Amino acid sequence: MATETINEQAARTPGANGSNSLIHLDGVTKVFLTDEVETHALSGIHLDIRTGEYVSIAGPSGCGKSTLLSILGLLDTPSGGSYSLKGTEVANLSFPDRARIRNREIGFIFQSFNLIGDLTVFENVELPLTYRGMGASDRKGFVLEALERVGMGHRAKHLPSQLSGGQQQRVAVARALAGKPAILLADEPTGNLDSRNGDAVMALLKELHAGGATICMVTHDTRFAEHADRTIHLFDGRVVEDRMAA
Amino acid sequence: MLVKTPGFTAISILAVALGIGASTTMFSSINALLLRPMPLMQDQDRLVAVSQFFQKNADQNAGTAFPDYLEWKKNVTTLDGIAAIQEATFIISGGDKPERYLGGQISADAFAFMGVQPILGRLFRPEEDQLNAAPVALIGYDIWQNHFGGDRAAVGQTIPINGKQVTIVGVMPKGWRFPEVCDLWMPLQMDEKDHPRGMFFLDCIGKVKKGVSIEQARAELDAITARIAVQYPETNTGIGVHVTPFREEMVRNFKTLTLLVMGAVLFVHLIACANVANLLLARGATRAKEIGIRLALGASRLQIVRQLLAESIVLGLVGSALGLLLAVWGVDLMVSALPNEVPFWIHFDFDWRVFSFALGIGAVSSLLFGLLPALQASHPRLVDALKEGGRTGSGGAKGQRVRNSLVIAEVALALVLLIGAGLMMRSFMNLQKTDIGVDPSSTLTFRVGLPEAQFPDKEAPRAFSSSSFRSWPISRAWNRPVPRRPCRLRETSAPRPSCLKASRNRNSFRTPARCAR
Ligand SMILES: Nc1ncnc2c1ncn2[C@@H]1O[C@H](COP(=O)(O)OP(=O)(O)OP(=O)(O)O)[C@@H](O)[C@H]1O
Ligand SMILES: [Mg+2]
Repeated sequence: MATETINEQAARTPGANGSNSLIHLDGVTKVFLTDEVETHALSGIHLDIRTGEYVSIAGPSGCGKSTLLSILGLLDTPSGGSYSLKGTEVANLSFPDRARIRNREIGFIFQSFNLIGDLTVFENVELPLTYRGMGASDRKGFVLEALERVGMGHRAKHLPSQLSGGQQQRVAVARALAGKPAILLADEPTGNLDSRNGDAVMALLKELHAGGATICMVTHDTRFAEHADRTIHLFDGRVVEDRMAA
Repeated sequence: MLVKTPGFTAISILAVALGIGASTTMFSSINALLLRPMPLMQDQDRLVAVSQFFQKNADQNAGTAFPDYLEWKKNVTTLDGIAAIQEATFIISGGDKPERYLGGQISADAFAFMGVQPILGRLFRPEEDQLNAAPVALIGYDIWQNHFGGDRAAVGQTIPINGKQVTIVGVMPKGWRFPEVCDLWMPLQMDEKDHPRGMFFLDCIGKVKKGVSIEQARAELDAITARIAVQYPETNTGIGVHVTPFREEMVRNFKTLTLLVMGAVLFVHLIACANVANLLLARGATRAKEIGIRLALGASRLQIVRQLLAESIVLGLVGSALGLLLAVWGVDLMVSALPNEVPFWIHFDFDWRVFSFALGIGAVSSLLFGLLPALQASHPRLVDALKEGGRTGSGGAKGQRVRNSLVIAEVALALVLLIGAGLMMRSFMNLQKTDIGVDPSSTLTFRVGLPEAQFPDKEAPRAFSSSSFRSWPISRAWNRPVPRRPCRLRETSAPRPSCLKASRNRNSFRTPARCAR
């Protein structure tokens, strides 16, 4: 039933704008209702992200950056508008369908790393693959490859608490990479790091981008925003500037 | 996760183990009474208890009159056999001191159709319950061990029983104490002249023929009994016959009580489960972040629920194992609290049924206390759960509601339990207060057996008691056999099968005596 819905909806959004558009948002809004107070976190976002792009999202606190990212990452559903990912309408999918797409197409990097403390580095990175139902030997290959790419291969058996913040974030990046998702979403990935570790993580992201990864990152830090080839400025839930790097 | 929160784990396991321990203890008595096959007997589901009853008091068995039993035996076609038994005191003399045993006078073919074989010697021959047959006896395993030291030569020996020389023809297997706690059996040699119609005192057991239903047997015995009533109206008017599955008849007095207590114990267990569910719910809330991360990484709800359920199943199974240990101890406690010897066919020890019950209730409980918290925890508001310093509180208004309703359920269960316990207590107290005609706190009862061979005179009991008790420090004795007329085994309604049993041996009597103060 679920796939049928996707197909039907895909048929209604033919090709979207430009065939190499990975993400296409059209008039996406998000309204939070708390104690009868409506907060318009997003008020009509139009946005296209193409495969291989490195986009940074900036803007003052409370302008809706995190909200936008969680909608992109299918952690939340928009209140209005349409969102198509790889040409498939995903704005109003059921919970299990969203979980499946999250698992396959999206890699998250959080400000606070969000590693699971009880699991080793290896097991943390393995998690999205496990949920995908991948066999143990395949998983091992994917995990080790991802850990090597972030330079944490030698720490596979450690627990997150035995690592520094920068190392933890690198493990988190490895976890986001491991499943070879269509896009990496990062919400202030350096927010909890000192500048040296922050630089290292940023360098890592840049390297991944050079290797072909699509990245969408929220950051306050204008220095890091420069890393991206495209910077989007949000204000009050709207895109006020969309600028390609020189 | 369970290892990382040892306090939580210990408390949950303890709660589950206590509930399962109590339930398993009760279940082992249900198993003993209702489920487990009786030992040694073949085709037990075809055995029936047969008894006459007074139509004006239809739910009580009256026992069976000897001539009516003979009439059944002669005419019945739906049974493989029908036997009568009368319990009696047997005194074996000839050793250092006389030894007294409870035994049964039983139809010669009884054990044969029940399918139980002696371990030594033979069963009775059909003609051995004729009046003039030479006296023979079958002894139980205990007598064989205690009296004869397990000597195989015991069979064939002649020993004085109740003052008569009796030949031992066989030894019954260990644990065989039919009908309840008998150790010795002699053929039922009974004279219709001494036991005329109208004296209802025998216990009867029959075996329905293969392919015949109990209803058919009942119909036939009904017809025969009705015919007798027409023929002998002065003794048999208003007399009917009850035919019940043997097992059912044996447990009649305790079945309801046992099931009630089982129900109560299951309630307690439910309360324990509700408590664990509550703990799990609270813990699920503190784990919202971890679960949020897993969901963000693409775990399906099913995968999360499975993970959480696996933990509660571990809790449930460890609880089962511990509960079984508690039940071992519980059963010991229960057995030691029983006032009397229990009938031979009741065994409280654990068999596969008890183990499967403990395991099963553990698994079911895991689902019971695990499913709701797991479902609850598996759909947090994802974005909230993942937020920086995301709330780790109560899991939202919905979680609070679920937990509140659990508490309400617990209180309701506890209330029902309390009311039930209160009602049970009250009827128990009423029972205690019932005026039975004598003051039980200063009354002794005991039995004296006066073998017919030595005391042939029917007035012997009266003479014996008036002469013997005079010198005792008792204020008064009823120097007459109580009750005078043979009465029925199961008319003593307390759930103690072998106590308070009025002797039906003509020359043995039971007497209450009052202690001197
Ligand atoms: N769950 C929620 N319920 C109610 N309001 C919310 C919720 N989440 C976000 N908001 C509101 O939506 C608006 C946008 O929030 P968002 O977290 O996207 O901001 P942000 O741009 O990420 O800010 P920051 O830079 O401080 O992280 C804010 O006004 C916030 O108060
Ligand atoms: Mg934010």
